Amino acid sequence: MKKINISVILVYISLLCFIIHQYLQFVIKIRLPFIDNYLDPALMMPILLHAVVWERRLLFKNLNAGLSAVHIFCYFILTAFIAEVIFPIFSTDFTGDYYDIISYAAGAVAYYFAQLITFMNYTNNSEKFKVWVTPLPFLLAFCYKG
Amino acid sequence: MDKLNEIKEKTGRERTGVVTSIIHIYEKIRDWMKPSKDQPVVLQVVLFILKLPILIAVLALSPIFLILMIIAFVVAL
Repeated sequence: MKKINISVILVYISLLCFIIHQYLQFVIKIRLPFIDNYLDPALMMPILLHAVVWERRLLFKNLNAGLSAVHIFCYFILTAFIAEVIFPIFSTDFTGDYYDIISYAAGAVAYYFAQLITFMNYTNNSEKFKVWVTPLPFLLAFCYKG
Repeated sequence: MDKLNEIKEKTGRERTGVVTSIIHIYEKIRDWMKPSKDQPVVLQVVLFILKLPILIAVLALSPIFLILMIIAFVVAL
């Protein structure tokens, strides 16, 4: 069975969607209010998280390095805080829209599951997926796996 | 010092002292964040929540993250 890196595919799709959306918005001048407001934050998260994974692989010389669920959650909190609280302080062009937090969460969750499926694909370990889906074992899995 | 030598052996190649120290500090923080299995689950969760701001602060120091946020700020202006 060919091993497919779903998280990399997700990042490429995010980049492609971002470029297409920017082209539609600023070149073709097509206005889609909901998409214009909430797509970019959702697309940014997989790209950002994968860049961090790349940095960790480079720093720790470990090609299998990834982000744990807790770290993904922390980066989601950090990104939402910086983009919705810090950026509006520095510039009036930014407005703190708390619905963007849902977009960031959607992007982070998508990357988390893409990474999980990739992990399952590479290790043929589908049993762990059942453990990680429910909330309490999800937390305990952090406690015992880090 | 033993931990630093362990990191050098694990990577199998010589690294700059700065990179080795960063890895060493990161692993120390990671070990500190891990809850003790001897503690009850409720206490583990409470300690995890209390340690979360520090973890967020450490993760914010990632250069790639900072660069991408600056790029996002500049592009969105």
